[in-house]
Amino acid sequence: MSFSEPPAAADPMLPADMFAGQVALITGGGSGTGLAMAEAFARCGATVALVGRDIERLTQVSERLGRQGLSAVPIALDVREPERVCDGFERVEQTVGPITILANNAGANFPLLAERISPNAWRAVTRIALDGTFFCCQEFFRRLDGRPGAIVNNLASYVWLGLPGDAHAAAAKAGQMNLTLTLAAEWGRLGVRVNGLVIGNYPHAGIPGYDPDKAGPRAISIPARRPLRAQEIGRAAAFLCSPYARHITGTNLVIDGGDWLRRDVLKPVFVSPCDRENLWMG
Amino acid sequence: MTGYRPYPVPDGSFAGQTILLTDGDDPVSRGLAAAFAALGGDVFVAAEGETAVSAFDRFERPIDILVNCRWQRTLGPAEDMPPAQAQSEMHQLFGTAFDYSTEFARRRQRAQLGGSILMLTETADLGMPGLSVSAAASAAIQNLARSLAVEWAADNIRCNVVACGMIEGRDDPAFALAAQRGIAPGDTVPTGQIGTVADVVAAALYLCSAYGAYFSGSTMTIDGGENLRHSLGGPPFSAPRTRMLNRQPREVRARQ
Repeated sequence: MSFSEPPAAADPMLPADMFAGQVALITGGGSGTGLAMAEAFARCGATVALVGRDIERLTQVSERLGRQGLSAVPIALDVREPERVCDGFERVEQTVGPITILANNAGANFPLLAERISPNAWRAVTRIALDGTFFCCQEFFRRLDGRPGAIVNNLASYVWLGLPGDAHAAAAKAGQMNLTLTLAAEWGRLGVRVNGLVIGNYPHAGIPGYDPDKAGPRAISIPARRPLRAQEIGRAAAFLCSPYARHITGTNLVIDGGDWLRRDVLKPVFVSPCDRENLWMG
Repeated sequence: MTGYRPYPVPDGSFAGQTILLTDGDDPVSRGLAAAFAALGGDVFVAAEGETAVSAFDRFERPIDILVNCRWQRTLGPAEDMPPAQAQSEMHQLFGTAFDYSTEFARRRQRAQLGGSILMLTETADLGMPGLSVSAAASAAIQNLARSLAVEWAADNIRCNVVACGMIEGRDDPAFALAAQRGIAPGDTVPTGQIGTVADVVAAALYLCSAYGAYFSGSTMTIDGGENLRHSLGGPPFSAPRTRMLNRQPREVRARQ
């Protein structure tokens, strides 16, 4: 038996006007988890600012959301450079108004053994995920200027477990997770909540080499025996940023169908990462 | 929650479902019972000291959602707690959760109906000096939830945890300590406030509802950052036993 399917995306769970008049800025909002979050925030009444480097894609996605009656604007922004972050936030606020929700989804990832990660590859991943998240949180907080706000950081369970073949992204995400704890304590009294959403395996078109035919077979190794759905990611992010979670801050909430808890008294034979055909699938 | 409906999930979210709570006295348990009922659920409450088999038999109908919500916080130095009291507290908290969860699973497995279990605990990841046994029970329950989540995943039985810090209205020794020291409990929390029953209820409803269908083995912590108070300073360290309620000095107690 697999886990039950959730209600369809059109049902937002939370009140449809909960974020009315608010602006949610979503980095990496053009695809994957960022898009899933953007859609959920918009279904609760927020105007979503989709930011990223591929403006063409962001524009297409914004138009698609617009056709569904949701409010979205695309803004080009490279999170790696603090000056550009400042400029991008300024353009978002001039276009749609003050930002009160930030969802950090921008990331980069590719399988590599640690000894083969070049300095450039290391920086390519850590600058987006860790530096970019920090710069965005900082700019978000400065602009709030005393108003309440909420941040949700996109995390993965390798923040606790590591992942052979993914030293760069795992370390960067672990940094994001730790940042979540510190910022929550620093900004708690100022009305800004900071949480992490630890998202399980989510097959989607934004992943390099994504094959929809193979998305199913991967799911059978997850205790839930079905993939995570976009609306489940979106609702969890929206819940954490909602008034219903007003006392939740500095937490890292896992939504992964039990994937990170798969263990056995006797595990399958360990194949050294250097001997694997598919590095992440050992 | 001004301006919004009281619950994060829509009306009727638990219509046709039966919910069993292992406690009905704590304010959080009462809030949960009221919320499930308001959203269409039929709510039953186990009696104090009742075994799971007896409770499930007594209600004579399938239970869809189990909430393990017994709550107890006994402040005191571990060395003063007789082993029988420690065992009794572990039994009240962990033992009851294990008994009810496994009986729930056996019945749901036979019926092949899936289901949802929620455990309410303390935030106890780092231990809790002065509450050593209830903190240990909380940590044990959270660990149990993680194992059960995987053991019962193939039965579509989910198992999650809501871990709470100080919650308004509870008979929590932290409030008496705050009164003794002349401070507001909320002033000790980064968010500047303590949690409310509504905060816990909101998280619990989400995790147990159809909208929470991909959560299993997860813990939602509701403490306003209460446990993120790490700093390089703070008051001079003194043994926790010297900071407890109305305690006489150790030598005095020893002489009595």
